[in-house]
Amino acid sequence: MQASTSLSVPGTPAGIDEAIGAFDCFGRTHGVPSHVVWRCKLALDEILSNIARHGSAAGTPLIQVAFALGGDGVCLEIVDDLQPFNPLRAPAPDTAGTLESRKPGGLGIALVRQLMDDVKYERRDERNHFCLTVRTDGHH
Amino acid sequence: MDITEARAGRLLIVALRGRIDTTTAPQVEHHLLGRLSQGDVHLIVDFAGIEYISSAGLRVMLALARRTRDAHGSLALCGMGEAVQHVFRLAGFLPLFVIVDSRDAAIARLTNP
Repeated sequence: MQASTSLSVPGTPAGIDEAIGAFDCFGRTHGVPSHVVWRCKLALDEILSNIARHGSAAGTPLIQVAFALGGDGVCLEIVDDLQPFNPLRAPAPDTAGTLESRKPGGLGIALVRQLMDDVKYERRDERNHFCLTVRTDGHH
Repeated sequence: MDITEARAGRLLIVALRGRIDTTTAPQVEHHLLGRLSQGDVHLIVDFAGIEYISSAGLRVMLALARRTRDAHGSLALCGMGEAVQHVFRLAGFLPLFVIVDSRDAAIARLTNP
């Protein structure tokens, strides 16, 4: 089955919530398995909140989000027109320290990397493009 | 995010329903840290109604664990579904918390530590 949808949301908590709600609806409509749905919603939350934080100094960014369901899985495309910004380059977070030493920074991107099957960043046409894919046949 | 509460002796059980992410984490943080500062330092957080937790929620849980320890209280997490457990595992959070399957097991654990 092939299906796709797209929307633009502001980089605010309400905008992030709207994008996640839209994916929920997309997933239900097209019978996307629940283990794929939560991964996609979590990834949307992490990437969009990263963009929102990055863009806050320059005002609220507008973020374009597209979902596509293909034969192999779901692809999420997230595009903003902020300055070049690749959070995927961030160093791996500390996941082994004590309660005292643990710093939560960087956890979100690390989760996205591990929960999605493929994560790409590209600077194209003066925009930041994130392309995330997750297969529908794995992760049970 | 729906938050409901129950008591078992000195323990306060906080049951969360929905998802814990950028949008809802501030509400969860305000509620849990608020209860702690009001003197409820023995807490059980029931995740049975939680679809998933993102890094924003993990930050809240880390803060809650530290504040509970500082208040000489106790904290147990229960009812985690597969998604929540998976995220805790990936983040290396499992060793930082007392995590049990059920609410009854959490009550037993904190009543007879």
